[in-house]
Amino acid sequence: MWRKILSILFDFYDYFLLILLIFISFLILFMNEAPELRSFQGDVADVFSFIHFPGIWLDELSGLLKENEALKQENLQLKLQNVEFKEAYLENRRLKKMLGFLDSTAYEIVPAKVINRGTTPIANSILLNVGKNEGITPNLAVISIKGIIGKTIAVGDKTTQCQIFQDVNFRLSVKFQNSRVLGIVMWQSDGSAVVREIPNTAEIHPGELVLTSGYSKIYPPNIIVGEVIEVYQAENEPFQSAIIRSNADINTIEEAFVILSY
Amino acid sequence: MKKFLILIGFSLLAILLQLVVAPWFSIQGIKPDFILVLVMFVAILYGRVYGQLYGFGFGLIVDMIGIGSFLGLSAMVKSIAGFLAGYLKGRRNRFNSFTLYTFTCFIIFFHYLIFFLINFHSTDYTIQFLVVRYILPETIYTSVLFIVFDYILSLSND
Repeated sequence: MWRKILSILFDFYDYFLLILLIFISFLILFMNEAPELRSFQGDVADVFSFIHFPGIWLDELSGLLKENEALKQENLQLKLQNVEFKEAYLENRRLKKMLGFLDSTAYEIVPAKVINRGTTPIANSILLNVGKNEGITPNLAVISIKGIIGKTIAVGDKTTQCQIFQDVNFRLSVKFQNSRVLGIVMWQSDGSAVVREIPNTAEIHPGELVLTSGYSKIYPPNIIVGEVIEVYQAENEPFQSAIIRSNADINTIEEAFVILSY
Repeated sequence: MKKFLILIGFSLLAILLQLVVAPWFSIQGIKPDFILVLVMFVAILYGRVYGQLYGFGFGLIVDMIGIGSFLGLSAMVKSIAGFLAGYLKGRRNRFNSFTLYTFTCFIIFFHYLIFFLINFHSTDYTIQFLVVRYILPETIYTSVLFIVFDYILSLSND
């Protein structure tokens, strides 16, 4: 009997090996969120971080001239806007003082470089060149100057893996800037996102900004998430849905900021 | 030992190509998969056992260093691809080019089918959408890459 089993095992050992490898893979897949595994992943990413250097170097080289030109234009626009914002800021401070509010916008941030954006078309994570050495821990918000990017998930000493908003499993509590309506945003594979179950009474228009709601331990309030591009309502439904598009393009992003505290 | 070092060298090269070269050829986010092509060549050269072990190990490293998807997913699909491609060890010259490339296309398609089905399991995308949007374009792109490399290798062997 045992000899027969051993003989079968020996004859089909390549098949049994495949079953074993698939079983181990499933085990790892089911343990994806385990902190120990994430920590180990961060350490491995650290060891292999040198692999990303040629890509970063080429990216920087090709992007430098374009970036310089874009920055010049942006600088001019920002200078013009700055005067306007300064006026509004001073007015806001005066009004806050009158109402007795405390200044609540002091974020502690760590700037980071994006050293990898994933290799699959459904990239759901990016790698940053900061880690435990800079005080990064899992579940911190990651933003760019154009808005929200995602959150930290696996942290090594020198690198951090960040789950990006384009991941179809990513959920974010948001509010519409003008109408003040709250909702949960879910991303779609075409790069846009949808906020469903918005009451029909809410007046939402294309162009309206969508911000983080602040009802989260990870994301601070009022970080730009995107802009409404379409509002639609299914027949006989008491709710409407809004399609939003993020300004932050993961395919071109080079710098990011990790919010340590807010 | 020498073979092992050569394999590590090729593995690093494949990762570099995937990170540096593949984004230049990206069409609507669809990129050729240098890593999968290498796994298949290793399996064709060394057989099922080494093919699947190499696919598993390489896939796991790819997942670990954050250029894959869910941790363990690349390991699984690449070990399956290595296992299937290993069937061609020693049989390669028995098939004509059409049969060989049809079989490799099937392996690549199957690899992406499992990959995208698991990756999008929590969404309401239909399988038709996944096939048209991701699986077929990725299969075509990576198959072309495999055929090009196979042609170059056959020329160098001649």
